[in-house]
Amino acid sequence: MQEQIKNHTKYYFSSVINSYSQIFFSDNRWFGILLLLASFIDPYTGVSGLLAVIITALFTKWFGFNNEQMRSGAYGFNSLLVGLLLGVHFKLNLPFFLILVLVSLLTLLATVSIASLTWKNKIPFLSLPFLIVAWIILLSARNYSALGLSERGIFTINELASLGGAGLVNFYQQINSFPIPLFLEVYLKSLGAIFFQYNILAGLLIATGLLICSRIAFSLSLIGFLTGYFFFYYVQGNVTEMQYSFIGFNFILSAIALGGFFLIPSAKSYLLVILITPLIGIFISAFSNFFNIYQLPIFTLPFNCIVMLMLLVLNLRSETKKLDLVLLQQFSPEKNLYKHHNRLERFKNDTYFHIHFPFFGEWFVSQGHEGKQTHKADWRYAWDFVVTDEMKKTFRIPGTAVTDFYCYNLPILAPAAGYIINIIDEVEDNAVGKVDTEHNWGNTIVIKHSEYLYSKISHIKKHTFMLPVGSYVKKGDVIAYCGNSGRSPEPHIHFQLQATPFVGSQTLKYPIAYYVRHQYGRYFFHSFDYPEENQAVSKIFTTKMLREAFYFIPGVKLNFNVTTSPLSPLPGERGDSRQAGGVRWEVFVDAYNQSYIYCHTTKSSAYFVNNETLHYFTDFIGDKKSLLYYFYLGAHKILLGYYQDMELTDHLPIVNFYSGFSKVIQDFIAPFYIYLNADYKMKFTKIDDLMHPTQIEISSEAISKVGRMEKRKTEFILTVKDNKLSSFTVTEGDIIITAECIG
Amino acid sequence: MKKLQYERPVIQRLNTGVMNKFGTRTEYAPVTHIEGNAVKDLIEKYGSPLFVISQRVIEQTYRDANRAFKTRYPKVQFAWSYKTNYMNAVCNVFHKMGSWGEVVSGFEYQKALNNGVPGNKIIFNGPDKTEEELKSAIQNNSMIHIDHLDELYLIKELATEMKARPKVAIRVNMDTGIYPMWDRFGFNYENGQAWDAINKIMLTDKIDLVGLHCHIGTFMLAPSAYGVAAAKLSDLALGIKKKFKKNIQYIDMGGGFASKNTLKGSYLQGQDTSPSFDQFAEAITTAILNAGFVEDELPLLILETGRALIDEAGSLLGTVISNKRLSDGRRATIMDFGVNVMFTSFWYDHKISPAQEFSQYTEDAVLYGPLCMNIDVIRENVTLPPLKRNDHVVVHTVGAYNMTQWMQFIALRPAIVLIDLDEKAHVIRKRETLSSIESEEMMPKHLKEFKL
Repeated sequence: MQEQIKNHTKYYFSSVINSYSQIFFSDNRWFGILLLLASFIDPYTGVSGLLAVIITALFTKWFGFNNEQMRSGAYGFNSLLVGLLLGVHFKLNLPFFLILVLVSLLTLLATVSIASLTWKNKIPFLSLPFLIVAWIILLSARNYSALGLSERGIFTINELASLGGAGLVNFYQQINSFPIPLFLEVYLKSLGAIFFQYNILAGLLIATGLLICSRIAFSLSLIGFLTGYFFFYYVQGNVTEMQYSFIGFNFILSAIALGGFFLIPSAKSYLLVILITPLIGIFISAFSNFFNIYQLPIFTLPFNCIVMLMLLVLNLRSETKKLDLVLLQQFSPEKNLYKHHNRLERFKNDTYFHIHFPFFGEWFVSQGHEGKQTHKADWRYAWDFVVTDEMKKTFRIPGTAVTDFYCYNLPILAPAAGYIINIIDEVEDNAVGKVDTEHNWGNTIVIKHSEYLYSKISHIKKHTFMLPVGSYVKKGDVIAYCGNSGRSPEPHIHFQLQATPFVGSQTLKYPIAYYVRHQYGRYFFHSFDYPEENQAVSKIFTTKMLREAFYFIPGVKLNFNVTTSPLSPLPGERGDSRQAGGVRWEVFVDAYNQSYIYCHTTKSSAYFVNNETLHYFTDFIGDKKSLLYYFYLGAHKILLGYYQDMELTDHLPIVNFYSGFSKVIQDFIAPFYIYLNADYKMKFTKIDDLMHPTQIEISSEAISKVGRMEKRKTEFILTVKDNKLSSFTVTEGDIIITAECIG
Repeated sequence: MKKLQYERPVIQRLNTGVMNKFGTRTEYAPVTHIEGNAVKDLIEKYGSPLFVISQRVIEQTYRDANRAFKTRYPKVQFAWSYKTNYMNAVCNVFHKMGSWGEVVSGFEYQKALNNGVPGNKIIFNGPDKTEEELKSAIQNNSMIHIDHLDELYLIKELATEMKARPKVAIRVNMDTGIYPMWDRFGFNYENGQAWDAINKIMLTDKIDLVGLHCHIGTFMLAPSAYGVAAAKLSDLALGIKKKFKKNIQYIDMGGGFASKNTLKGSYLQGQDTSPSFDQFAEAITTAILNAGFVEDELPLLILETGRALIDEAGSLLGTVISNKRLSDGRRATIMDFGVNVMFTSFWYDHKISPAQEFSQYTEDAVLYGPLCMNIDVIRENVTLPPLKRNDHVVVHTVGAYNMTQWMQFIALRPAIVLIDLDEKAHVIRKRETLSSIESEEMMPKHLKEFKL
């Protein structure tokens, strides 16, 4: 019972708060509460708005609409606007409340139905439900004399005096009489007008909240408003619209929506805002003239039209041209931007199917993409591989027979799992130096990996195919042996990816998932890259122990004993000793199949991916002083195969790494230039035994940089022992945190 | 014009009839230099006879072998077979290139440790390991390859006593279709001894079975035999996985790969008949890859090949002592080296080249060593140009076994020189002196003085 009440309270609380913050495209609770307070500057309006949301939340449950949509505020904010509107326009009496209930219901129905239509086209419904309901109620109310028109908007001071006495009136007048430029006054009042509070105080509150919540949204609101304001000024438009009906909020909302919320904030999106704003001005004038006939206000109609139009159109492009739509809404322009950057840097390749080299050991690319010899025109995205010795020779003396060539008769592996769909197996090997142009490809195998992705390997030795057409092969299975058939003067493997199943199909530019390049006796890690001519390469082999140590499947529990030295709580957490002692982690998987480590001690989550070659973290939510946060940084990207001294690098998302003043400044200019960097490096430093290792040491570091200047360096040492994570050490300046895994 | 060299006249019988398909074969291209060092200078500086080892050839051969295996199988490790050539410098050339150590006695084990090979990268083979040696191997976490049950029991006792968990493998012998079958080492596969030993190990918790080992013979000319052996070991490994849920970490295929030497009685030259590393690699890796392991659980493949890696890198330089005629009229040439330093001449017809220019005339000869023993024959029949006293010869492909099986009999053992990659010669073992022979000798007091 108690649990039920708690759940109910949570539902209504979230629904109300999020409905407020949603109006400014945010999910920040504090901002929501601030907006709620701002709406209560005219208490009757505030009450009416609040009631409308609660009624809507009730109806949502009653009908059984998607509770999550209500909880997130998506179903609530239109009702809130309608409620505020009614509160401003009409006197509060009994018939008013009846109408409020009915109108809230109507808004919910309008919201749900309009959402179902717009979401199909991947556009938001914005405040369209509010507009429709508002017009309906304003037109119909003319016939209901029980609903008295309120005069509150007109005699604000009288009302304030009745509420808070002389003190409040003085405060209000002080603020109002504060000498501020006209445009700023109009800006603030326009902000307030979004909540039907046509005063500077409300505007100030909202502006402050906006600034705290999002620097980008704040700067966009100013840019949008000023552009619109000066456009009106320049074309000598009807400035009264701006000064008395504060219709300028259309500029503000559109600027935030297009500049940073639905699009990734960038110089281009800012430019778009400046370009589009005059259009909104034109819409405002046009709609005003039209709706004046019916004596209806246009509210946010221009904003709705422009934003929906833009989003609908932007969705239909074939290229994003650096004007990217937000795919996974974070409800904060900053988060959208930083995570987008991080995704581009880190996960741009996540959609590729993992293709690996079709051979064991170190091979040499004798012809790469767009090669000089044969990789031309439609067949330019192919590779030729041979085996060479230290003199870069491909054969042993005398090199007159195919059997003298190092790669001849070496096993060829399946580059990825798939079905064998085509095999040619009747071409004899050529003598060295001869080519068989009649059977261009020689003996060939085509494997289907997925729709529109096939791999083709050619010049195979006759009668060495291990499996017939139709067989399923796993990644790394031996499928045939290298030969010298077809247009091949010396034994080699021809490897290409293609979108169609035929021998001779056009090639497809498609990267090799992970591989190691060998140079000067050192290893270099490549991910989703294209091996180039004259590079020596090999495929990645993973180490069982590392695979097992990072095998975090749902249900895995990790407990740590944490000690810090010098004896103190974690850095920056003086006096708070949550971390000292034990830390409990557990692995879960969410509804979207994203795995994450959850820290029971600090209620933090670190999202990760394990693709059998790499373990990497994708996101972190929670306490940035927790051990899990340090683990998120230190094990940001771990290769699951031991390669001595091979370095892996990555970028840490700055939204998860920085805070404080430098981040605030960065936020303002982030759409144009990101000067804060956070780099990640990882390498294996120790192994006790290459063959059957029992202990591997991984060292990594997270370096924060301003421009190119190194600011802070945090070093990590991860020890894996007997197939398990055994200890984790963080060194930051003179503070050392040691966590021992105790099962 | 260069002064023509005097060569004594030769009477040669003219053969009539059809030529055989090889023509009259001679081996008389002179080898005047080894890796840029004149034979004459080397002998002058370091004495005759003299063993010369080429680091370049070692490295090249190692890389060939490595490539042959690593392009066919994901996890390959070589372990240098100390008994083949345990000159520390030679061992270190291999260790520098990544080889582990494979030893068959306590003293070799100590040598490997002294060379700096970590204990857990030494494989301890052989039927004779003393209790002390086993203790040291257990302490150093080395891989101990068990040869017989008595050794197994001893290790078990030592494990209890030392409270350690020794890492062991068992040596398995098997029928791979070749003769002779080496069934005196390890446990037999076909009659179930191998399983008996595996069960005994797996049923005690005291010993960790990490690998399986075989060594099917020596100077193997049939790669297919390795295929059979690899298949049988894989079968055991998969059987262990099935029965005990334990992954065998490595399969050690031992050594025995033939070098390019020519065996006595062989009709064709070793150069032509000995299989290449690729052929051995193909047989072994194909068998393991097709055995049915999951890709992730493929065992490490260890190779202990010695002879094929070092034989060609070694040469022996020598000097003619005298020429004479035997009773049947054959010519005999006496060299300053014999079976005492070239033990392998019991098995091989070593290729021998003169080290100086000569004319095209050749003569059949018997090549004798310097010992006053009838068995001291280097080549029973060799076609060489007439050699004079103090002429030099180069014996090829002597890098394996000679420097470990040589005897101090009648003569002292020669120096060994290693020529590095910059063609610089380094003495890696000095010529023996009387004191090196006598250093371990003791004289009882009552025998110290005598009067004649």
